[in-house]
Amino acid sequence: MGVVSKLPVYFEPIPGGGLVTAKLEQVLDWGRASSLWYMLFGLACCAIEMMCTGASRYDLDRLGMIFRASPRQSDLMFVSGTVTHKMAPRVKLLYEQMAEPRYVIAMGGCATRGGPFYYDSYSVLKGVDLIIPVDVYIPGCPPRPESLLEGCLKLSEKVKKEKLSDWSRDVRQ
Amino acid sequence: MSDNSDLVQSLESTFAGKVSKLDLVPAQDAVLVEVSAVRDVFKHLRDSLKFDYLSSLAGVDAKDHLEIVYHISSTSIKQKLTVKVKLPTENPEIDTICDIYRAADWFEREVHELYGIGIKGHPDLRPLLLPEDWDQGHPMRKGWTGRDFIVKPE
Repeated sequence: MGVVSKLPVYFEPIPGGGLVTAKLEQVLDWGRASSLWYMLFGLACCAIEMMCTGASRYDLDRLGMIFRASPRQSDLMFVSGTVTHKMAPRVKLLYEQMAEPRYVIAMGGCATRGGPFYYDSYSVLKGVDLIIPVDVYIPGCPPRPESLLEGCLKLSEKVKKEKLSDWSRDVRQ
Repeated sequence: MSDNSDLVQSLESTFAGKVSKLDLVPAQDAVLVEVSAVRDVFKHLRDSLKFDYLSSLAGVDAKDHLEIVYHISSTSIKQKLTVKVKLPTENPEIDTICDIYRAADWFEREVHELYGIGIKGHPDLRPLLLPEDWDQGHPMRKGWTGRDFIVKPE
């Protein structure tokens, strides 16, 4: 019963028996928060930092996060970098191709509010939240891997709090 | 930065009245070419003077006029040359050189969409960098504004 002793919040052993009871909601949330698969998708220099976070030194695998090369299999999208007006419809399309429930982390200043391209730029979208809902914003230019890990942990906290009743609709919109 | 004034002088004498020497900082071989003579000058440079490589082609908005700046170089005689062409702000047009230097193709598309300079004789002037459905003019022109354009406050 190693898992049960580690997760008293989610599981309750029945005395004298091999059964455990738990709320379905909590078990599912726990499972999903522990395996947030992210989409293999990068936009600009932030993507380099994201790759670094995924590689062995920082290792997103520790959080159960591995990249998927298809939006159909992804739970999470890092918007890692500058979103241009030309790229925006493609980003939106990728988001729409992901199966619900789906999450978005806006990584760095550009994805959050245009960053250094806020002023005097004809080509840059002033924040990815103008086209898709965002769960976690990470400041930095680009954010260090530690910041990105922090953002992922914040997101898993959020995922753990979700209610079954929220799943059928996108409550953020 | 070669001190080869022979090149500029020979160009000036070959195309009398159409080519003039430019003094740029830092010092470099540079000429100003009349719009009408652009194709002849580049053909001469490529075929007779061994300039076989177009490094870059850029547009400039100098407020009272537009410019195109060509940087060409030679891989055999190790020389560089800067060629400038001045164009009017209203209805600027220039002949394509993409059949003389193939590298000019995409550069000219870029200059066409960002500065609104007409490229006569270019085979394919679809937008290169701007979105396919772009309808807001030429964003690299001075004083341009458009959708979502936020001017930096002083």
